[in-house]
Amino acid sequence: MRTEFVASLVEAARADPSIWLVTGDLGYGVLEPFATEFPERYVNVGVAEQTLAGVAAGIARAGGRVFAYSIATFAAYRCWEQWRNDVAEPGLPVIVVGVGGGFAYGVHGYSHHALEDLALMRALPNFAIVAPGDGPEARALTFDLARRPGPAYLRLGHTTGKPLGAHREPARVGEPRQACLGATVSILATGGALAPAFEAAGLLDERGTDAGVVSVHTLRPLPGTLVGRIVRDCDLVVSVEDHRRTGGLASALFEAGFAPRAPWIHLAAGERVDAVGSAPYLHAEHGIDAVSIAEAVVTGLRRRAA
Amino acid sequence: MRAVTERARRIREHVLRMVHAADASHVGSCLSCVEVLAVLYSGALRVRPEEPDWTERDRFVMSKGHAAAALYATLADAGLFDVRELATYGGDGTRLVGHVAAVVPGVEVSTGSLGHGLPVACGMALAAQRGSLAWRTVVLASDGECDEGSTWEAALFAAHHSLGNLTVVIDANGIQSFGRVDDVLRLEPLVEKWISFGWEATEVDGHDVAALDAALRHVGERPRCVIARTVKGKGVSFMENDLAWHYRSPSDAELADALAEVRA
Repeated sequence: MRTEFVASLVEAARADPSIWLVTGDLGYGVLEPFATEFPERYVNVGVAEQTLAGVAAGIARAGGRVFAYSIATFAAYRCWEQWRNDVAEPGLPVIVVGVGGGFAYGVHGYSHHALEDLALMRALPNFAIVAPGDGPEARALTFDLARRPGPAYLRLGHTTGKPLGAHREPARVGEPRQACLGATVSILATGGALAPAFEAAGLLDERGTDAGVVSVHTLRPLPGTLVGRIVRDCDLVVSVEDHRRTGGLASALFEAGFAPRAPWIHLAAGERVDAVGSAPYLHAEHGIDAVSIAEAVVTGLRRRAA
Repeated sequence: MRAVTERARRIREHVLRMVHAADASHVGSCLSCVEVLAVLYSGALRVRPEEPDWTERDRFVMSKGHAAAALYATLADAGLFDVRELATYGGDGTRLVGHVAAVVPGVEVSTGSLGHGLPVACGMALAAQRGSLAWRTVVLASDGECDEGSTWEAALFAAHHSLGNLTVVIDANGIQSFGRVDDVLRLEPLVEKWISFGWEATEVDGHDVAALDAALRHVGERPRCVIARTVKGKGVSFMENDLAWHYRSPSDAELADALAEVRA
């Protein structure tokens, strides 16, 4: 997904000379294409997130459109006040790029697990919040963000980014994508939860349950009523996110006025801090892997029928 | 220089009246940086009062945002907005907010949380350098602000990128918000610290307008730090060097006494 991001950024930067890339000493093997083609618009600030945010804001004040890149936990947490005061309040065109949302950095442990980033960044005024679920979404949404005014948080996964489901047109910020159709169940997923959601739909399909998947890649702006329309005729809605229950996808949907007639099950990462392993292992440990999602659907449908 | 000294006197009077009317804090912090602001807005900074957004202006970032009254008074005195508006300082619906607010004509960046101004200024200076733009960026920070790690991150950055178009003035009045700097978190030797970080650094009497003017007009290959040795509450004898005046607002009688001293 990072490869799609940087390819898209390079393309945008060729057309727009105001685009800059600032990194907090991360991006080895990823950011070189931008750095080599646009050295005058690239800077590595070192292991210094407060500088990352301040410098990004300063460049934006001088006319730049700045992508500020780090690992999601460092990008979102370490300098949150700087994003709040120096970027959100003045509404500057700074796109904070957090790599490794959710459990993407699994074996690296808790310090690298971004499970609160969507909540924190979503609390900032003026910030668009985007968590692509696959490679084509990452590519299209990067390109879209490069042209939109104002600040944004772009949460990238660490996965291969292979396409999941139908891409009828390039993804746009604020427009949920119907990745696959399904009449009985609608699984709403964001970021790194899209892959297990898709896999769960496949498992359910084998059992004869018609499950659809909607990629809610944008948490702000979030058209709650549009999502409501998509799931209108379903018997069950499940939302799943690789993020804590507090302040993530389910909260964003609720705040946006999403109120399905069908029962709505929220799946999210639990509060435990001890589990360590690969992302798929951690998804299972936290009940947000494909098997857990499918089980929740089966249980939910059974309860509804009762 | 007499005109600058006169400007400083006017700024002090405005600040005392503003803080009194709003029952506001930070008068001590305002009074210590009056000469620095007076010198900056008497020619050391290239700005056009009638054209606050002039693209080639020097950028001034008031990182010690709690001394907002001093900045607003300076900007009004320099003609960026009507002096009568100063009476609205700290009031409901005012644009003259208690910490520096960018909505005010002539203000580049809103501040209030210490340690933000210098990193932002580094970004501006870097963009100017890369774009071969001639304008300078000047930051006014407090000595207490040098407690913030972000200050030193930015110092490393500016030196590494040879931001010769960046100047930081430190209003070193020796008192922070809950004690003397020497007692809370010792900064000395402060000049040597900035030099060791790769800056040109010098110290001056922060109330000597001629010395300040010379120090602020100098431009070199490396970023420059001017440590202005000042007195918190300068200009009013009973406010000088006293932590209480970080917080206290003058009473009617104290205001009258203070104004009498400043005018003398």
